[in-house]
Amino acid sequence: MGRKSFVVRGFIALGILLPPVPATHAQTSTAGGRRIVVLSDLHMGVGRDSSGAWHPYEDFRWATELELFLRALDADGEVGTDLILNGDTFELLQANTPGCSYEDAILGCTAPEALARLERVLGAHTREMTAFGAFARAGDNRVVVVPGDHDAALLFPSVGMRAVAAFDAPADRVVLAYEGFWRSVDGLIHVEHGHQIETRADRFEGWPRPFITRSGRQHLARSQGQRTVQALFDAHEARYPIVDNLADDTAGVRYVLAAIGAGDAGAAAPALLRELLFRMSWQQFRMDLDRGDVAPPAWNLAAVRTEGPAFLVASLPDDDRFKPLATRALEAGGLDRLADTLSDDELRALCDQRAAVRRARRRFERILSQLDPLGPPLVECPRTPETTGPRFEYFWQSRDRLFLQHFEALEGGDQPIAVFVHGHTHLADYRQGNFTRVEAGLPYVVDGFSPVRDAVTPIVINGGAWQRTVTPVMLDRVKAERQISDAELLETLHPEQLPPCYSFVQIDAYGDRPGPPTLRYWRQGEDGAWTAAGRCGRAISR
Amino acid sequence: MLLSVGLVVCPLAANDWPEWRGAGRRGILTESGLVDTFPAGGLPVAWRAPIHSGYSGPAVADGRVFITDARRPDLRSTAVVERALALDEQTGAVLWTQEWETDYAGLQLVYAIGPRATPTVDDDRVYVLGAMGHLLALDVADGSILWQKDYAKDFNTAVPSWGMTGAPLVDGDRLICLVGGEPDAKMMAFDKHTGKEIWRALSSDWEPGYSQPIIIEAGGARQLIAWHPRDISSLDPETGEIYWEIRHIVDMGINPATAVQSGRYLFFTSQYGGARMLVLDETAPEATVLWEGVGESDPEYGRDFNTLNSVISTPLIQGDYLYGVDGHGVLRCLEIATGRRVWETEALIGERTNWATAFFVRNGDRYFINTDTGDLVIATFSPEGYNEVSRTHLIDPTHPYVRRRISGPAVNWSHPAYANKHIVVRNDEEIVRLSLAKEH
Repeated sequence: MGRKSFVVRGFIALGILLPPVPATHAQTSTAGGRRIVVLSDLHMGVGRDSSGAWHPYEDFRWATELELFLRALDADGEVGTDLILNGDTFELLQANTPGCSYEDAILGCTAPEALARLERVLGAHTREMTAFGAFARAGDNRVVVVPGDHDAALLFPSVGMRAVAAFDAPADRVVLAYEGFWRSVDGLIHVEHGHQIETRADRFEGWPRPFITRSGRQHLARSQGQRTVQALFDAHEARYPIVDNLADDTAGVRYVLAAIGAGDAGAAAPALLRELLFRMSWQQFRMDLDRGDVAPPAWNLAAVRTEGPAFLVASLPDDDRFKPLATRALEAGGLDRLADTLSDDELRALCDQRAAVRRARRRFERILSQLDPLGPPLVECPRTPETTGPRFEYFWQSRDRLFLQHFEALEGGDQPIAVFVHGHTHLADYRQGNFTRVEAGLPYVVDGFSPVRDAVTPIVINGGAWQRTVTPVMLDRVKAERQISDAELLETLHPEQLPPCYSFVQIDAYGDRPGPPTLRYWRQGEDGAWTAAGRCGRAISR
Repeated sequence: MLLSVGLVVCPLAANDWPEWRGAGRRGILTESGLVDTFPAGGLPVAWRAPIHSGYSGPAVADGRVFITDARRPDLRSTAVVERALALDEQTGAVLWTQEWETDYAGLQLVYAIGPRATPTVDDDRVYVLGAMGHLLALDVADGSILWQKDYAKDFNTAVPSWGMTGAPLVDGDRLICLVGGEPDAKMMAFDKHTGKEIWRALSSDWEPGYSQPIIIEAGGARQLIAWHPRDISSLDPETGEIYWEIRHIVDMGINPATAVQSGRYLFFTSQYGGARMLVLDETAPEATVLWEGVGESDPEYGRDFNTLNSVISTPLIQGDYLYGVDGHGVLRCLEIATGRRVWETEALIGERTNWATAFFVRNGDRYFINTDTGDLVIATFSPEGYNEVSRTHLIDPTHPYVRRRISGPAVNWSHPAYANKHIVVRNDEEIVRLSLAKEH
């Protein structure tokens, strides 16, 4: 397959207002003839401290692995590669200097402050930037930098241009997605970080212009999630170095609170409970046994509402580390107002989630990454009588609805999206398909899922993080083996001990339609060799 | 007419096959005068009759063959008509049918082709179970419904992904069933004549699983062994009271293999949850774990091969050794006392492949083995190795299979019946009776 020429195409059709910056926009890929590789959530941060040791905030300690990966990627294949760095490539939130601290908590860094943070990151990661630059210059490759919530400051033009310049590659080889996402020219493949999906606490109003102007100065906005969760990580990562290496990324909150022995969650309880209830990753549920053939149950929301805030606490499994704190907050009346703020859609989402957890635990799905499969099942919400029975066991309607709403907001191109890639949660999909694709008479489960009933597209896939991560189930297994407390576990584990696996999404060059995206892991085998594989297959090291 | 037939009690002939794995669920064929090797042209066919699809094996009693099947009137719909049939054992003529409607939505549809459970025959009644939990007590003479239950409707059963599989078990006046009902009705006993509930036991906070209940005698008591995905439970079959329970988690609830007893040993195997060898107490209804084998979901899997991870196939115990097919088609011999692997071979199935299955039936010192490739094998086992005596192709596999195999695109996961010097086997298109007699 030959290499195709570089095609620049406007993106006015998408109706996106581009910021007034001179850089080329990101939607520059030719369709089909190029391989697409998506890496998310590197979180290159502040590097080492004055002693030469890794700063506790630094999560990206993997320059050697990255160099090997990029070399292997460049050497593999005859077509050019569009390498999409899908958000949180640079860690511009978790840094002490400059502090970007303002009386109004919703105000984040100004452009000069963000630029200062970026300069420190670039200085700490010269090997990585050199490797990226070499990849971008090689062959017919290109690099696209998509901003995420932790590097949303790239959307300041001065910060974005500095980041692009740091790749030291020709202007047409590295671009920043000022639109806040990347989409292939044929409109079939859409890549975005993922923090704008759902009602997530990390979403920004006005994206891709997440700015607030005060006193004549433009600030990056601080999201709700950043205000409630990031402060917790910032305060405790020095002692517990892997708290933000947990996937999904909210799991660390539970562990930190348990490790520090928090007696109650205080005034933050409602915000934390809401965050944890609604950010529980859908990926913790297997779905390959339900190909979308069954109908969703109808929950009796009137009965649910009579339970009041107790319903919210009951939606946490009994072994959830946050449940004791939530229970105390409930007893103290701290959650009374939270229940009243939930919409019917949110209640349905919780009911779906409870039912899915119940189903997963009733059958001991040890493949779950978030929940001990042997734990107590939740109680289902009351159903309407006509939707009892196994033909009403489709619990993923809430997730599907959220993604469809997001797609509807994104659409505008000539063709509907066929593949949607995101990251942000740090937890990659592994065979989370809810449909089975049949080719050559043989069905197989596809990575990702389709939120459209009876359709095989769009496929949604979470690429996880190009990071060393650990799931709660893996962590709990180590804890049980060593018979230690949460605090001891978090204190003794370091990122270098986490499984040497870095997930990414690959979409091969295609003709008219892209094939299914595949989730891959750049991983180190037992023999020390690095290869790309379909699974991680490695455990925490001693 | 119906009443007069119903009053006639027909004792089962010694060589009948009235339930799952034959009388007592032990997989033992006591008949003599059967072939030593298969004829070159295959076994003589007594008759063949068309049926619809399903996994359930046939039962044979008092001159009748009972089977269940299913058809989809509209292939675009999950609505299904399930059916029980009785055929004349000698001619294959259909004596009666009994149909009921259901819907397979909620099952994993690749495998949603029909009932799973083998009919259970008891005197003048045959008990059949549909994949969605329709339990019917039928008159063997004409198929009329004596009583029926709908597990989902009557007991709040959440039907698991691969359907209801537990064949009803007759014990005295009780019909003991794996129901998965709520509250605390995973196992239930009904009056076998009326369907009235006698007892219920075990929480359904966890799925019912797919294993067949059996009754054993040990420790001076008759024990109902109910193996479900969280525990191995021993119950008093008369009351449902628990004698003992041993924790044994089976991932995804996949535990279709039947427990196997030999003397004081009681063995359980699953692909994902691993194996447990129990020792039954000789003086009281109690049990302890002799050894455990890792399952495919255990982190140690792949490093410890001293176990057997069968997925569907029920293993056998002979002397001090255990033999069985693991979930990848490998026939293994283990030492009972330790679980130590003695040997393994791919010779029976012919390839390493996922979810491979074989059904073993003992006949004297040898075994008849039905492979899921549709073959029938005569073989002997010893600690020295697997000795295949003879093999013939019995029936073409038609059950759906979602992985690639050398042997072909489909499998046969239906346990045959051995009765009256014949074998009765089914696929999704026909049921066939073939002669095993040494001399015709």
